[in-house]
Amino acid sequence: MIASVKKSLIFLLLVLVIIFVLQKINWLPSFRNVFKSQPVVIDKTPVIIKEIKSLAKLLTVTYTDEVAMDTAKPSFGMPSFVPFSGSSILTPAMDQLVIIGKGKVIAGTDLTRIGKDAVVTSDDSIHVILPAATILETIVNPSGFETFIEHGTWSEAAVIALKIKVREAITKRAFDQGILQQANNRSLSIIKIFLSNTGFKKIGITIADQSP
Amino acid sequence: MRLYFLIIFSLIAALFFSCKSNKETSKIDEILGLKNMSELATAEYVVTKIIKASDDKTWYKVGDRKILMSCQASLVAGIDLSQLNAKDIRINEDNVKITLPHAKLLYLNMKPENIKIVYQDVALFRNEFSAGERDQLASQAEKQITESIDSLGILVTAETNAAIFINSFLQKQGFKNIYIDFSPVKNNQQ
Repeated sequence: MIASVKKSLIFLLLVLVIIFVLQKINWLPSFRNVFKSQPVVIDKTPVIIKEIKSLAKLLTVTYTDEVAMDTAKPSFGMPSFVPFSGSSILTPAMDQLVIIGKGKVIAGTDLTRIGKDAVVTSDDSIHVILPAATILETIVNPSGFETFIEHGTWSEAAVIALKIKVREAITKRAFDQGILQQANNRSLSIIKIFLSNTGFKKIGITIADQSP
Repeated sequence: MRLYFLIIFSLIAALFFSCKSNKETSKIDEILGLKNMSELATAEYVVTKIIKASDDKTWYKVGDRKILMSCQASLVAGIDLSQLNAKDIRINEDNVKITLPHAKLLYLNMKPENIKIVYQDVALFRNEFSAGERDQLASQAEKQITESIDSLGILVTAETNAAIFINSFLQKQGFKNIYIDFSPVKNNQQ
């Protein structure tokens, strides 16, 4: 009996060693990975150029922020009791969607709007009227979104609407931080340095009036 | 007795080596807020891409699901003016020679309203792709688009446009002969 137990243990040991070696050379998944969900990988498809544009935009300030937005709608699930003023009230079941978006706002000056009369030179003096800075882009890419809570079924339109709210919130925060004023100041500084490097001694730069 | 110790040791060794610790490298959080830049964007490419994915690799999940999405993205490239120094600009009366830095990708913008589900096929025992899963697929597309900028030629276009714009700007300043070239060392793409 002891001999047969010994044989069984040796066999078990042999099996374990073989499994260990096969896992090491990736012929077998590890015990943790056997029930691991395989990631979905997209196929490599071509990138098609739809349009090509020429630009001359001076990007002077970027504002990075992270915003969370949520929305809810009634669902067909079980209602629940919610504590209210010492007792409980019955509330309908709600589907909830919470998205966190991290993005950036880029402000700067569109130099194509510098008119012919906006640059006046005289010997070593130059005066330039720059267009006022504007928000050029607010970027929140798919890699910047995180779905924090997704209870229930949400249509594509509803998810897109919430993501647009996230983008608008980031843009508003950028405005509140004074991004346009800083962009104007930065444009002045950059153009001044450039003109100074091209040999002008007296440099005057003004920002065109933005008011309608 | 030795055999028992050997068995116990082998079991412990097998458990130790099968438990791989996948430590994710901690990400350094980007500092939020305002930051100055000095980049001149000179070319924008609007591109489209089809996102095709099948979720049929997990053996214990009964049934497959497929999704087809279309996306549109804007790629903007230009030059970094902070790399332009006084020594890169040589002036001789009405002549000027300027050496510009090479163009790089400044940003990619993939708006959520430009990502659309074209087709979705979900088996009976599977759930539809959630918003989070669709974002992960679109993130992969975003990465593939970024990796394809060399083949698209956007950097060459950006450099050509940068030369045209700087030439025009210097002409307005009164220079007659303008020579523009690019630095011999290529910048790292952003």
